[in-house]
Amino acid sequence: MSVDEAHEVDGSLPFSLEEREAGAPLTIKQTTLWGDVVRRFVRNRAAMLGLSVLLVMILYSTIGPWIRPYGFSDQDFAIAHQLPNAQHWFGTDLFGRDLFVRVAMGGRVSLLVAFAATAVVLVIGVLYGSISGFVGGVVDDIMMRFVDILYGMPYLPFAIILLVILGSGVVPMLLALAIVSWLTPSRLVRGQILTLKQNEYVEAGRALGASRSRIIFRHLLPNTLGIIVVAMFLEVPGMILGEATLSFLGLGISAPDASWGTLAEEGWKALRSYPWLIILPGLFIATTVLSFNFVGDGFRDALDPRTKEGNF
Amino acid sequence: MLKFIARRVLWTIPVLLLVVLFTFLLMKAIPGGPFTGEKSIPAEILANMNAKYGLDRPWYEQYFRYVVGMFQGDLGVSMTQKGRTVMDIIGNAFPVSMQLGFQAFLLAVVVGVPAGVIAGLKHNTWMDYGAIFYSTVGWAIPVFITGPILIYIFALRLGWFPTSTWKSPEHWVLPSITLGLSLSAYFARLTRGSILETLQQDFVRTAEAKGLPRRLVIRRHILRNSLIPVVTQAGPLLGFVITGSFLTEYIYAIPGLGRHYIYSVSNRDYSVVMGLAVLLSAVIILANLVVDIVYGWLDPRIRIE
Repeated sequence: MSVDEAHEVDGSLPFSLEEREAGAPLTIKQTTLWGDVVRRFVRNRAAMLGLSVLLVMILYSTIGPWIRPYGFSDQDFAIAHQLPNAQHWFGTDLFGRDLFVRVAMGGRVSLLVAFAATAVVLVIGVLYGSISGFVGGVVDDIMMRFVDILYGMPYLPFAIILLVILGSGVVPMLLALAIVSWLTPSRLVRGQILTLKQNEYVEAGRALGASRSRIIFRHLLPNTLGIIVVAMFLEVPGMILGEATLSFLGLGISAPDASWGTLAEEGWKALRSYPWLIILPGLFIATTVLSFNFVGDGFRDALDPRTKEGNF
Repeated sequence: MLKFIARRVLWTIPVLLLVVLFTFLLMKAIPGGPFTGEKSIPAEILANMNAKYGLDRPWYEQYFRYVVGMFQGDLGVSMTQKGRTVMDIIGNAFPVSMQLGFQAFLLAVVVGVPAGVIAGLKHNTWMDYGAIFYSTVGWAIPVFITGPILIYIFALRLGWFPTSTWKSPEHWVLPSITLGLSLSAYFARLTRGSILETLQQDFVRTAEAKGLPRRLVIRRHILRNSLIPVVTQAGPLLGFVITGSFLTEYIYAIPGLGRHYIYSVSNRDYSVVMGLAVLLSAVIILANLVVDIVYGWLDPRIRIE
């Protein structure tokens, strides 16, 4: 990157002015690719805010149930339907259960399902996409036509059928979400592989007699990593919403387990008298989804500053 | 172009058949048959019922019969609602869902596209930030939160609109807004991004250099070119509309496809579930076909593949 370009991108000079005035020779500070990425990310206020919120969310879900002296399913009808107060920071539900603890536990399930489903999708997407893109020819044709066909199946109706087959609970939920969400990541990975295939270093690797798997894992995957990381971050909020949607419809996580979606469902049933019960999980879902989007977008912009203008 | 259209149209037939096959196999994989319920049915009666619905045949024969029936407009009969065919149910529910989707879509376009255009043209002003805020937050709050909040405020507290069902225009307002809100956020985001991209194009600079009035540049050069990507996003959008309308119909007790679907799933009425899933797939496939053709028409490079 030239001095002008560096200036263009983040407004900083790649050398210190004081040193220049002291007569030091013009040396350009060497920055690594990842150093640049981190610096650009840190400068992005929305992304940093999102990252902080996410860290707080994860911390709260992890230790939240332990910092208040209430059990996840301790019922006490004498204290039912309280608004937030000194004893119950988030209030209580219709059974008098403490919502600070319940939302934290719900967060565990929601975040866990979302992360796990995303991980499964990435494994499938990377494997499927790289095989398709790398092998090419008829195999690629068949694999991509298969993806095209599955695109004809609408997301929610099929997630519902899958849940009916797999049963309710955390593992069926994450599997159902993964099975209906791997198509786009696979296409993305394949597209990356195709552009990278034309690069000289792959040819060089092949000329040196590197095996196919070596080329895939040592050359192609690391170069698509950035885009995959971004795709991962932008996949997670969709998973959170998917889980919440299915649980809200009464098809996913069911009692005694709770997720943000089941909490929203409980709140929906009590809407007439106690709207707080749905606003609370709604706030958590929306804030988390928003933060993931900010972090994902921040990552994308940090990896490739050129994308910055057209999107947010 | 004609050849391109013909190829695309023909391709939808195997896609539809395979999607129906996958759906069919998934339905077969559901544990328990349609007649497993609380009451246990004597074996002979069960056998008779299975024979009546053709469930005693091998799966490929059932699939074949299903496909033949499908092309004749026969998707079987409901297994829990006596005397109703799946086509009956679709006939009643589809127009309702279409109307809800259309109203929400209209609202979303009317609100979202102008918001995105203004945000893009007034880049980095308070109007832009306002639109960004609207579209980011509107997109992040799920339908099953906005719906109940709208019901609470406008139906339960203020009493302006009814809380549920789909009987008169009064009933249409809240559901359409619920579904339209997040859609409009999506449109605003998409339009803004597209406008910002077009603004950097050389032809915009040329138009301005020629001394064309700003209004003309916006109308002829910027708007026209930025709305193309917005139009072609209709495919993935439809999946989102289906999800949103499932939730909206569930929340407002609207007798559309989504509510029937959820109802039938919990009642193990598998022929209805299957029929609705096939219908929704067909809608998606059709929409993708239209998008492909429009895309090919707009961008000739796509046609040679």
